[in-house]
Amino acid sequence: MKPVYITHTSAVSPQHQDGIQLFHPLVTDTHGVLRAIEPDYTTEIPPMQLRRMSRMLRMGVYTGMNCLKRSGIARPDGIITGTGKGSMTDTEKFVKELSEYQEASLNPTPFILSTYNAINGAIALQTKATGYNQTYVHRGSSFEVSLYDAQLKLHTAPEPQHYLVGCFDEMTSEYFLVKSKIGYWKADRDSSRPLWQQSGSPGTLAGEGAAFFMLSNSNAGAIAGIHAIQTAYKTPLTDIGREAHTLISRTGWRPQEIDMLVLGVNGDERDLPYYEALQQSFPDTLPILGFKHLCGEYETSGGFALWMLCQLLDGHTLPDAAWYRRPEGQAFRPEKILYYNHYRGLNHNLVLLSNAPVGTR
Amino acid sequence: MEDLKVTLKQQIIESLNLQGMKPEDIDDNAPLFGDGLGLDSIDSLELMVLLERNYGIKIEDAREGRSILASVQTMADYIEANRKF
Repeated sequence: MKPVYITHTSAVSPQHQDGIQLFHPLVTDTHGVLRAIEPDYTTEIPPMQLRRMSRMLRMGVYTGMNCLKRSGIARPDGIITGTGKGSMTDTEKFVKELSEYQEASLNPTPFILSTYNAINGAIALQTKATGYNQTYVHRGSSFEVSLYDAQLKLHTAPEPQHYLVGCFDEMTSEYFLVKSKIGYWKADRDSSRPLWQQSGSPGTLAGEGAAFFMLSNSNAGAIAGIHAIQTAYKTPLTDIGREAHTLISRTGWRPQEIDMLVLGVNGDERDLPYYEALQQSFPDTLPILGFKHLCGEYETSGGFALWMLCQLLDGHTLPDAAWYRRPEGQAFRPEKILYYNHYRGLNHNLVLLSNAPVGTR
Repeated sequence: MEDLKVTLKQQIIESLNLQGMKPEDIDDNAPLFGDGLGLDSIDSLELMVLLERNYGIKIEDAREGRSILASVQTMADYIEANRKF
């Protein structure tokens, strides 16, 4: 399948986002959670809409609208998003009110906004975009499935088109507490050490964020190309390396052309073997970019990874702490990249990306 | 009645999350929908929930609701006449 191209990005994450503030200062976790740094939402969302939106809605709509603004595209041909949980704040509020008011006298707003496609709807209303509009809720593959759908749609489009593709998930106190009871989060976290140096115990860091991308089937102004996407459920540990190599061959690449890995290592000893298995099928000198120590673990953390990769490909220098295995030289720009991320050993995602073709920017 | 209107305005501001607005910014007789506060149909549902939760008033007829929710004054008048608590 032909590649699709990322032309613009926007993100709200636990790290600083823009210009000289990119990743500076680096934000580390406190009490096992990395919370998103929220921007001034009024720059992208009208006040009368903003008042009704919960935190997740604000983050998602802001990021989507900001990505559109940066791209200069007023109305995308399609809007595709992925989320693991949607707006948890609204879901929790609605469920609590169901109980408190005994299923009577319920506010409609939390219910409306707890639906997964509320952010897509809000962006579509604000931009008057009446084209393809889809939200995927496939747990740890939600974002990657959205990318795949965008690739399919753009592949079949006869003329240049632009799709707004994004993801969002939030960490509420309630959700954090519930998941901590079943061992999701690292109990012995020492935030003075990188997360991957603490992979000898179960649990990881909680995180949240939103990331949006403008995808096109035209390479004009491209930052990166997405060549292949593969999602799978419960891939056996022994098959991970083979699956990656098969995907590379199917794309017409050779494994030795891969010059960088992006891995979702999260410090959980139960999740580490999959990443180790993939690493073992590539040279042990390849630079490896990590991301969950910067954004935390959540179903759509792959959005943050892709956003961070785009910053690198766009000429920004990533902090040393971002690298799991550092490249030689500050000016390192990879050409062919393999991204592998899995969520709790269940949802496995492989994406092949490239630096933008010469002369497209 | 004056105390009720101030309380009601406060409840409207909180319920509809009208950020930066104070009770004195809402005119008793200004329309809540359209040109006045600019509220919409979802807000009308929120206001009906507000009346039910705080005053025990249940509005069953949508047409009746439209006149009750016309302004703070019409809401206060209806509450005075029909409140359960």
